[in-house]
Amino acid sequence: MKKLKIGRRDFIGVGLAGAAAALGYGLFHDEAEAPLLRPPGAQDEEEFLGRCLRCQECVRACPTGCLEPADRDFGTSSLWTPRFNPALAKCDYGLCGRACARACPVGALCDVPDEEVRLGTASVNRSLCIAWAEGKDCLVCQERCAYNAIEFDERGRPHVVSNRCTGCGACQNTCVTCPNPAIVVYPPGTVTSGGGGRRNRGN
Amino acid sequence: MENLDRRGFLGKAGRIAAGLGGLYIVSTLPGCGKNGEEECPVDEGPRASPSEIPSPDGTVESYPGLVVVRGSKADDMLLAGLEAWGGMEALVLADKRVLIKVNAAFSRPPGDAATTSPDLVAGAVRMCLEAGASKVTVFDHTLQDLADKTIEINGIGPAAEAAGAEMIAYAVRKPGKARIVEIPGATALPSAGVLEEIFQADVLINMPKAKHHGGAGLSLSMKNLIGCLQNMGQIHQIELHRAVAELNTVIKPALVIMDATTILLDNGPGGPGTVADPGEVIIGTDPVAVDSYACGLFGLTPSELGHIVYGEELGVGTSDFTSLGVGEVAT
Amino acid sequence: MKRDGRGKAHWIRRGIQALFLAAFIALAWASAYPPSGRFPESFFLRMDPLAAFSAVSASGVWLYLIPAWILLGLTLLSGRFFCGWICPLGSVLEWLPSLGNRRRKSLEGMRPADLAGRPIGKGEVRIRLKYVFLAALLLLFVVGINLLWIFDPLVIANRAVLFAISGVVPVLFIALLILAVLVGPRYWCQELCPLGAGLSLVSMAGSRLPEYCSPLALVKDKDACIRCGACARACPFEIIEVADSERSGRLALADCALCGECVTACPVEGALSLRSMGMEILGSSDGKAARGNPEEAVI
Repeated sequence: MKKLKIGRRDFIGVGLAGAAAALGYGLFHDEAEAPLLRPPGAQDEEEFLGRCLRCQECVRACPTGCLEPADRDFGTSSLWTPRFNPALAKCDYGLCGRACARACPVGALCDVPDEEVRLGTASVNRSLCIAWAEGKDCLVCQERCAYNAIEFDERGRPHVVSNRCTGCGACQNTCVTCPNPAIVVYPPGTVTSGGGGRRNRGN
Repeated sequence: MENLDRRGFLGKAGRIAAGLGGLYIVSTLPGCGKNGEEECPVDEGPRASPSEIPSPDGTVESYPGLVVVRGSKADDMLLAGLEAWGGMEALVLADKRVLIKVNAAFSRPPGDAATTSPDLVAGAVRMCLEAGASKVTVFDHTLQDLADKTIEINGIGPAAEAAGAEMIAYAVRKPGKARIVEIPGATALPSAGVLEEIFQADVLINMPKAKHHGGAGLSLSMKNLIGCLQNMGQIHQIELHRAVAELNTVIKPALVIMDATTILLDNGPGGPGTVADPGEVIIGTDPVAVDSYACGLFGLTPSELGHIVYGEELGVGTSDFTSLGVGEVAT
Repeated sequence: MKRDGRGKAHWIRRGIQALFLAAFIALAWASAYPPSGRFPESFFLRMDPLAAFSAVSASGVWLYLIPAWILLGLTLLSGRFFCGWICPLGSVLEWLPSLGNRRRKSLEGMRPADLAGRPIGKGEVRIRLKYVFLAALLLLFVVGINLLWIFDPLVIANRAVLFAISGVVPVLFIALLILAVLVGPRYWCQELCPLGAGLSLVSMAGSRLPEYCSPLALVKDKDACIRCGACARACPFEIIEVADSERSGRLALADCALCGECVTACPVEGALSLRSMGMEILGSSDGKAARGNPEEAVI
């Protein structure tokens, strides 16, 4: 058996490398404007980050193509983790057989039952929405909403019924206002008022 | 391994530190996965004249008004209704390519009355093929991204294919090729990208579902044609009702077969909502007249629907369907 | 690298590496919807024992990661064969032309007489950086910081394939390629790879096993050895040392990937061989070099 000799200098080397990475993180970290949404079945964010290997299997498995690797604007700790981006497509979790959760090799995405999926909550930006701001007869968000979570008032203006909204992103994806859609999905727990429906009970 | 002196150690540690730092910097470069952003969809395609869109050639001898068929079995109703109208021969389908624009947009089972009845679609396909059509295509946009699953759930996909048609379902936001058509005299929709499939057919048949619609009031035959557009979203940014009417001045199907066997009374266009079953199929060539009649099934008058009023104004048809004549058939 | 001196055995190994690499890429490609339902597309990731740390406490994970337990078991019996025969990242790194290979350069041109009796390398195992990485990774993991995604070779390779498919630049993968070209073909594997470190530790645990228990083992007959150093020059991992010429029986070197390059390079019949459960499957007489002048056995 050979004798083991500890390389103290290697510890210093690793320490230096870690310091460089931390410095790099501090210098080049941007604040992202868009909200960071997760695929269905991602539990608590901290636990999710602790498990996710950033292997891209879920991104590849998604049939609608609504997932993408988060870019550096979301920070190093989220870099390349799967981000649900309604701008790409809606999340059709009811029809896809939860392809993302099945693809995940480490269980960072769990196969929660459909009723428990909560990707986020949509919220209408009343200054961008052409029904609110210009009185036009738009209806595409409600038309595409599969959960009856959008209601029109007597003037044809949309309201999100947040206790029915699952955050699937169909509304944001289809909103005709561009480049910034007038209805946006925000992470669960962050929308508490404004754009909520008459039956808004919060999240 | 060799013994490291100070230089070697700095070199090694420095290499690793520089490597990790450099990696992070490189990952910030464009092309390293910048996240997708909202794009404004534009109409893309070659220009085309409205005359390239297939329209009835005017030599068809048929009943000028509406035929309203009542019954329960789709095939019987179609047979009886079309016979009363003038028969499939009146459409002159021999060796022609037929495109049937259905409503297959929603992932709802047929009983929810949000999409055209698959039995009706299958019946129409069969009758077209029997009348000598060279090819029948059943066509729509779906509003769920998984188009394949949507047409399976609403039953139209399997029904159309079993009857011998080609089923084309575009997922919204992933549309196909189109040609840009100028609409003469239009103020709301001066030009529109019309999907290529429309130009590839010789005869168009419009098979809408009669139902409530949250924004337009009702979704009937005129509204059903917006599924022919490459970019459906644009219609909502302008005046929706006028745009629908203007679109109907350039896309003129040879026949409208409206599915009012079951109708959705509220919470349309997707449902679920209250379903009534008048058990009717309405056949006609004048979309304004067909739509005007259908309003009555919902307890509305034609003047309450903006696009019907504009349609009459623009000469698409007449809302006075009684003057055209209403033939009633029961099976 | 010249083609002479590489026997049939070398190309068989390359062929097997190519097969696993092709399977790896095919599985990543096939991960697109719809899932096959019959074969797990993430099979290679499930084979990765490090990934088990990410998966721990997920329900059903122990069953799920059966390929990893099998790999660990075989590693215990044989050694780091995964690195030499299966790892897709390792295969790509090994195939790159490299500007660096310090061991080979330092041994080049030395005559057997000079090498005889001279311990190249200190005869001690210094703790390589990879063990520090592994320990750091596990420690950080315990406090909730998961850095496996930066350092796990299978994750890097998986991400590289999927990024390439979707048009994103796979930075980490390219960095490793550059490292291999500049420093040494398997520098990552021998010095930095934490998965390799884990497999080395498991391999060390099984190092006392006799050769007939081992599905794949490197066996040395010191009486036949002429101390020419050809094995040391040929080793792409820079593991085997001339000092090992003093040993006989199973050479259970912690980092040895059982690739057989040393066996192919050895000019003397019987000095080195790869054996399975005691049966020889590759002997040093199989190499072309066996027929040449020992001094020309420079690879």
